[in-house]
Amino acid sequence: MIVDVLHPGRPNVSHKELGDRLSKLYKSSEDCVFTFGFRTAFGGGKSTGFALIYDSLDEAKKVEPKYRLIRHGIGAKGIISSKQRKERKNRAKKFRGTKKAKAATAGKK
Amino acid sequence: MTPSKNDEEAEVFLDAVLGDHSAGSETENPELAKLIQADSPLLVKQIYSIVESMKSAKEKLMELQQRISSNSVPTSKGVSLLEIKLHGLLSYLTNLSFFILLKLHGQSTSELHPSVERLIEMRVILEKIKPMEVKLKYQIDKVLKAANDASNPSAEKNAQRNVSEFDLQNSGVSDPLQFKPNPLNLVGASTALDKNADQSREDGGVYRPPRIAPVKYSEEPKRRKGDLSASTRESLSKSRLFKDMRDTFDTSRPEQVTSHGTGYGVRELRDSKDEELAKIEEFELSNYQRLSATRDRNKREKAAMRKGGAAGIVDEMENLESDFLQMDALDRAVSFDNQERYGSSGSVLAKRNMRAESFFTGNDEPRKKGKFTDATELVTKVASGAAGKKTAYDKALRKASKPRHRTLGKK
Repeated sequence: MIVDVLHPGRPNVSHKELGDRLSKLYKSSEDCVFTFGFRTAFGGGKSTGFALIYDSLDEAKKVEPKYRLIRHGIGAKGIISSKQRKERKNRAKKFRGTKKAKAATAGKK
Repeated sequence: MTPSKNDEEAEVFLDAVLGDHSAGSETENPELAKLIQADSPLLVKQIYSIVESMKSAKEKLMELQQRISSNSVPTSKGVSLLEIKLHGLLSYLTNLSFFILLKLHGQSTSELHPSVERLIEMRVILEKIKPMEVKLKYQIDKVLKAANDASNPSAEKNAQRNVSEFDLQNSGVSDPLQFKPNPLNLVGASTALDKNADQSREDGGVYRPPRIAPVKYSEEPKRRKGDLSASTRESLSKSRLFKDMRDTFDTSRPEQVTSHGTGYGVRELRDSKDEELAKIEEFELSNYQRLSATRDRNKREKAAMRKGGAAGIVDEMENLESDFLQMDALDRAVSFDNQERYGSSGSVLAKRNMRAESFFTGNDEPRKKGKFTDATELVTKVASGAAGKKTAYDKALRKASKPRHRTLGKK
C-alpha cells in the first residue's frame, strides 16, 4: 500500500514508529510490517512511501528482499568490510568447487 | 335491477326536482333559488342523457349475461393483470356510486368514509397498473394476433403463396408466439424467397455476380493543400512567439494565462520537465519502488543549471528556431486559405475589395469557394481549356518542349 504520513513541525517519522502505527491500524504483529521508500515532500510536513503487511513472519522471510530483512533485524548480514571480503576471496581462489567454502572459513580461523 | 324499475325511479326524481322548483322555496333563499333556476335545465338534460345511456348499457349487459351463462365466452385463465384491472374498475364504480349517493343525501364527506378510502385505494392500483400494461402491450397484441390467425384458416393463405409449411417454420413467420425479433420477418423477406426462385429458373441455374463499378481504396484520408500536420499544429499552439502575436494582433480573443505551477493545467500546457516528473511519479506509485536519479538526468539538470535557468525557466531562443521552421508551413496554409476565400490571387487588394463589397451589399459572410461549388464555371473552364494545362500530361508535355540546359562537356 501507499502510505501518506502527515507530520507537521517535526522531521520524518522512523520506520519503527510507522510499523507500530500500521500494525495497530491493520491488527497485525509489528514484525510483519515492512516499510520502505519514504520521501519527504518539499517544504516538510508530509512524506509518502510504501508499506507491506504480511500474514506471518515465515511468508515475509520467503518473499522480502534481503536488505529489508536486515533492516528489520531478521536477516543475516555477512561480512561488510571490503578488506575482509577480499581476503576471503583470495583464500578461496586456491580451491575449486565445494572446497572453496571450506577453505574460506578454515583460513579465517 | 330490472329496466322498468330504473325508468320509474328516474321519472320520480325528475318530478321531484321540477316540483320543488314550482313550490314556495324561493322565499327562503332568493340567491339559491336563482342558482337553481339557472342550472335546472342543464340538470334535466344531463339526467335524460344518463337515463338513455343506462338503457343502452343495460341491453348490452343482458346480452353479455346470456353469453356467460351459456358458457360461450371463457372468463377464467386470462391475463391476470387485466383481471385485476377489471375488478379494480368495478370496485371503483360501486364505491363511486355510493359516494355520489352520500353527496346527494347531503351528508358531509369531510371525514374519511370507508368508501372514500376504497376509492383512493382503487385509484392508486389502477394508476400503478397503467405502466405495466404499457410494457405488456406487445405480448398481448401478439397473443391476440395468434388467436385471430388461429381462428382464420391459415392453410388457405399458405396454399396461395406456394410456400410449404417447412419453409415457413424455418423462416419463423408461422410461430406468432415467438416474442423475440425475427429479422426474416422484415419487409421483403418473403418476396425475396419468390424472387430467387424465379431468377434461378431464368438464368438456367448459372450464378451471375452483380455488376458494381470498382472504387479505389485509400487508407489514409486525403490531405488538402492548406492543411497543417498534427505535430505542426501542436507546436504552434505551444510556442511563445505565436502566443505573443495572437495577444497583440487578435484583440477579439481573451487573454490566456498559463496555469503553470498550479496543479490544474491542461496537459498540453505542461513543459517537458513537468511531464517527466509526472511520469516518474506515476511509475513509482504503481510499481511500489523508488527510482534513483540516473546519470543522464543528472547531466541534463546540471547543463540546464549552467545555462542560467533556475528550475522552470525556459530558454526562449531555443524554441525560436523551431518556430521559424514552422513559419513556412503556416505561411503556405494561410495563403491557400486566402486563395480560397478571396479569389485566386489571395492578395491584400482582393481581400479589401471583398470587404468593401460585403459592406455595400450587406451580406457578412466571406465567399469561400470550394472546388466544385459552381458547376457552370467549372464547365466553361474545362471547355475553354484553362484547366487542361494543369494535368500531368500537359505538365510532361511542357517539360519536354522546354529548352534543355546544355552541360559543359557537350557542345
